[in-house]
Amino acid sequence: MGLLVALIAPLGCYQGLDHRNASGDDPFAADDGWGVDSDDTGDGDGGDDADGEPAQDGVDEECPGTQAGPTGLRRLTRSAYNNAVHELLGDITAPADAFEADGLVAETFAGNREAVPSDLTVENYQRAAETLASAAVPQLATLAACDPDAEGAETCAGALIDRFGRRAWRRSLTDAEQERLLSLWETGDDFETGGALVLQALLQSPYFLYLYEVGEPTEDDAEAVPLTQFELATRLSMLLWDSIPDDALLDAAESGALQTVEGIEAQVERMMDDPRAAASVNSFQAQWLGLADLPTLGDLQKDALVFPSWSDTLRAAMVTENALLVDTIVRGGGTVDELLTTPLGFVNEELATHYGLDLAEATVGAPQVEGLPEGFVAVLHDALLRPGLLTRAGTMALLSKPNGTGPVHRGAFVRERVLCQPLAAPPAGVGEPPEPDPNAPRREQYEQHSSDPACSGCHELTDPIGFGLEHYDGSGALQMTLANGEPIDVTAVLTSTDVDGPFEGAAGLTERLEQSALVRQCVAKTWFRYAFAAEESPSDACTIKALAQQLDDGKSIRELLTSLATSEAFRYRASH
Amino acid sequence: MHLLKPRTRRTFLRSLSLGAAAAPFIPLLRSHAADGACPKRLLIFHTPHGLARANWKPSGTESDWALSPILEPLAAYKDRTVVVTGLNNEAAKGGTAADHKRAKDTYLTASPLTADEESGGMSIDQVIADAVAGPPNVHDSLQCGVRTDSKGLNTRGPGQGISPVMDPGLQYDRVFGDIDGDDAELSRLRTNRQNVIDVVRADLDRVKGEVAAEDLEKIESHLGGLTKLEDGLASLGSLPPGCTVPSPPSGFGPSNDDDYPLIARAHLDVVAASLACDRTRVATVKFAGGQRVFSWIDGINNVQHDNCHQGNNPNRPLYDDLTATGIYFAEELAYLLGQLDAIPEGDGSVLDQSLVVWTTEMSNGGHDWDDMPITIVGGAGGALQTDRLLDYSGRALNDLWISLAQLMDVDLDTFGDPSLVQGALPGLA
Repeated sequence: MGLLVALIAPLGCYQGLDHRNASGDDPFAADDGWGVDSDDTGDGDGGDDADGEPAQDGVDEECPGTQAGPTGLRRLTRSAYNNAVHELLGDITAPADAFEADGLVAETFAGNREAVPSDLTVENYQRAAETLASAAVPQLATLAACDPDAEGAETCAGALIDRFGRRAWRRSLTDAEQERLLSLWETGDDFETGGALVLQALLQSPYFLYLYEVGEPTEDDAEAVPLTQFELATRLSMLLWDSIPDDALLDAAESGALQTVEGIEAQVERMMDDPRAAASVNSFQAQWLGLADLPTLGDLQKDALVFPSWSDTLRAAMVTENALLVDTIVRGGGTVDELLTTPLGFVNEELATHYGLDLAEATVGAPQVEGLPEGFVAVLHDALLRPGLLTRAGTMALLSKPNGTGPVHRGAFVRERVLCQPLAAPPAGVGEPPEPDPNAPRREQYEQHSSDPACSGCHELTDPIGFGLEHYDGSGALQMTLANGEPIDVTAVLTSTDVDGPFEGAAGLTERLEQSALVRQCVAKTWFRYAFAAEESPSDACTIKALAQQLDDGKSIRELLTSLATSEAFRYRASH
Repeated sequence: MHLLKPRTRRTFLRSLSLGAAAAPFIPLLRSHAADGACPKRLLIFHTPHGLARANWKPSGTESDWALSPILEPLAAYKDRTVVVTGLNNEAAKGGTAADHKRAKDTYLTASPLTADEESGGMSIDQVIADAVAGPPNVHDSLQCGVRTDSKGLNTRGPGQGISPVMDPGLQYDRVFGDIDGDDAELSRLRTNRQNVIDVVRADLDRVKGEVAAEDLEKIESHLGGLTKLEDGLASLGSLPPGCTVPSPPSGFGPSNDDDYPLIARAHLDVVAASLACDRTRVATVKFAGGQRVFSWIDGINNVQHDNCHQGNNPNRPLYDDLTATGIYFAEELAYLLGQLDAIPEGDGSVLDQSLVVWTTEMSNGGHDWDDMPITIVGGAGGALQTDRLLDYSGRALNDLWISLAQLMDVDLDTFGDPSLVQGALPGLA
């Protein structure tokens, strides 16, 4: 969606929120019409019975039958491929960075459930497999846990196929598969050359490249079948590590330990505590924290005249802070509220200067965090000025124009990614924006957004939020006044949520958002989308409701993930 | 694949093996003037988000015209240039997809997007590639992305956008890798690859027999990719006589935005060599813009997207910046033309056999699709009448693509959305 386009020019949007559900009704609405009084603007949003759209009555629905999750054959994303070959071979060359771009799920997450592999992709798989296999020759004996000189080349070939195959394909290979690979090995000259061919075949196989799921065979004509233990293990490692299972997880699967909720919970605990979980949490937050059509924070460029302090190193420090913050909260058992309001931050000297922090003061009271990158310390920002992830310098810099702030970006982010209220695309034919004026308050410059009825439907949703966040300039630094010294007014009114009302600044906004059931439901939906690499459909309503309920009950994000991993959606699939 | 008079034993074997597997009838190329005639090449040089029209559009009459400031870097090639003005991207108009998507994903297809916002058909470069590719090509076409891998410009059809290759080193490997080694080594490589492909295919066939109907397309496409790899085995190690293999590109970080200009040059070098050595006959080079600051251009501080929107006419504040960007792209095009012109072929150079088309998916920096700026340089083996400034106001891009196809000896009398077609542009071919 061309949101960036929309944000450059004054918009002529049609009215209001764009429900993803084709019927025009959001099956996940917490109640009828976002909690506001029934629609008084006549523009058709919310569950308006008069339109003939079915209204959501807000009562818990019955959820009969097994709530199997999304289906569709999923292929490894680039990041999962890289993590997998790192696990398998210690590779650090990240070959998948050269692969074709992944598909996109809900305009947020990389995911290859729909994407059809092109000729170029298959070619890339071949090239990567050949390069990886060739580089792995010195460690083939280690991978096989077998010494060809002592035990014989063919024995070790069998051991290599068995052990490496089990890790790469996340299951035991069948006899036929092992025989086929052994025949391939035999076309080589020796253990090494044959072994390299075996690796090439294992890494190009659909059993490596796809999350191939069939489920347990059932006698009857069940609509939903349980995943096999191995299939479940792969889902767990994809969710929690963005990678393949380790031996411990495969062993647990093989022993049937994942048949019980307790067994799954035990693995989730172990895996969340493992440093490999940081990769997945980081993948989640880096993709969630943005908007379609914006670059990632790591690629963000700014106008050098307006933001002379903007540099690659400053930007990298912001990337690190956001990653550490989310990782600390998520894996540390934090809640959605904490994500929204915590004063916790992570800075090096350059970033501390950018924030205007005195490191001696800012570290007082900050938690002890292990394993921080060189030069970084945990700090406590000012709780009123820097609540939560939203106001971290990197977040605000990302949600800005290259040469100024970005109230529409920021408002759109809160609507789309925090409230899960997708915005409609602007219509064609909007004009060019006026030149920015550093002496005029933002809300004056955006006046047309609210006065022009073609614009206001969308912009009354985004702009007030953005105006309330004007204390952070386009590089994420604090700006309390305009260029002429006038204080910036950050009072605004939040509308079309379940927590509407006036607020002042980020502190006021996040105070409202942490009360919002819509936000909690959005967090549940967002993790659902990430976990399944699929946008939810109406048949997922029960699952999402149950997950949101966890957050409503005050559970942590970690507990949410445990619920997700033990849900029927995660453990069952629709039978073919 | 198309049957050409075989030039080497390897290429003969390749086409024979294809013939055995493929349909009995393999369409012949429309014409090759004589045995051993040089193949024509098509190169799409695509820059982002329009050009400052007031400084791009040349002045003058058809045969008495002067280069504009943005086109000035092409001075050495003016006599082989045709400037085409007035064409509209009609297919981009209408529909509800975002402007950028509509502009880019309809530009080479000349068809509106589908209801699912997918490409409305195959892009013209792919249509032409299907017709003109043949031995000794190793790829039917190449797509190079200078800091972009976004799909949509080049496409095989709905949902089949082709992602450009971003790393010039990878593109080089795809084109010039696998040529080293003596006959025995190449034979070994061929055998090994075939054996691995066979094992992988067995896995895919089994998966294909088990997957749900909704997943079949993915596995079939994957199998198609394997077949493509198999088809390529016959041409391992083969190079046309007279081809000078360039050294691998170096001196840049392929993922480093700061190395944009170095990456651009590396892509142009690889593409020029690929065309010259007949490893492919159709290529697209796509330049990224968007949220990048083109800081290597003197005076530019703002991101390219803003330069376009705030520089599209002389009284806008970033007009000079947008003009400077256009001049940068013209300089890169001049560099590419020089690379192609340096390689003798037939009576002239590779450039004389080629059509190099400078395109951009917006017209004048805003989200506008009328009077698109198009510059064609080359000769198409003598078919293109050059050194002209042409205006085709009121016609759609469809007609340009039809003309280009005909210049490439591809038999096309319609392309894209038929309601937008009038036919080949008169006087272009």
